[in-house]
Amino acid sequence: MGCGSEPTAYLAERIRIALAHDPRTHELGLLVSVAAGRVVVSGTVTSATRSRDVVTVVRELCPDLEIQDDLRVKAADAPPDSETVT
Amino acid sequence: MIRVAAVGDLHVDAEGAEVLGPRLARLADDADVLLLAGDLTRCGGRREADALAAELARVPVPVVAVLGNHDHHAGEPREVGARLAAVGVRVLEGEQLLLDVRGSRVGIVGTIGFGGGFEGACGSDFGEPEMKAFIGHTQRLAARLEQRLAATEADVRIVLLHYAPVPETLFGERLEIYPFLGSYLFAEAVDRIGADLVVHGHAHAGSERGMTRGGVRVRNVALPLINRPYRVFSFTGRELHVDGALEIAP
Repeated sequence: MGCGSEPTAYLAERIRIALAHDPRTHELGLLVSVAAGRVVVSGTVTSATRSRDVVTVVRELCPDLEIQDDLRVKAADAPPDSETVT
Repeated sequence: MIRVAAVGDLHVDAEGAEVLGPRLARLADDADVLLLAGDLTRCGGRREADALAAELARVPVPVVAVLGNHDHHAGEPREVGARLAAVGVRVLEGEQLLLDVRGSRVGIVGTIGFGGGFEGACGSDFGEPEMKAFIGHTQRLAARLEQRLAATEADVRIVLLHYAPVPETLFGERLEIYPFLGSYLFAEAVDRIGADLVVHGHAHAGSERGMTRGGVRVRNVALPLINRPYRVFSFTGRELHVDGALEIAP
């Protein structure tokens, strides 16, 4: 099934379901929006590899659409945030 | 002072991305115990659990974990738990653990939790069997949490969840999906007994800080949200006990 004439809201949900079930990603926490012939995917993933896999899955599903990769890869060595509980 | 590191939603794959990264070796400088708030693996596969276990085996402080929904997806959550337990991780589900940290008793009560929603906008155990099963599952886990928390005598009591107990730590997520992200029943259980801190994950786009209606701090430590290897909570002014024992109750 292509992505050409499908209402964008349904397509965005179909992409989200694919990202959840595809064994390369299994990502449920990403934001997906589709507008003006473009798929925007955002959120945080744990590695650069995972980020590339997400884009690959979206591209396979929607080869005719532009993909905007707004994913953030988590900081590997940021100092821990600390809070005192009294 | 007792220092507790916490993070959730590691989503480790079979290739074993180093989730704690270079911080792992320094963890003992930061904290006395590491809490993992579920979604430890990408989909609960055995190879994923093995990859995570290999990394956690090198953590120099006690590691206490609950599983998350991702850890259940492959249908083998017990396998995931067993592989982590094999390297010394204490995996809790409706259980409590008492740790002796330099003479202070740190009680940790853990459950994955579940959904259902929050006060004024939640599901009821009414109607179809599927709906009764959904809410009934949440009710049973919350009742178990309350029971185990009541049985935990400690200087510091921490509740470890995967799903959220309050809506405040979900701010940023779409309101429509709140019932799938947590349930107020867990906050209610905590407030009946009392605790010093509740940590959870699951809501990657949520907010870090919230509070139960009874005033207990709630912190969302989902890794994609905190964007650092873990958060550290320091507990000060706690009475010291010298006879704390390490034990786990069923």
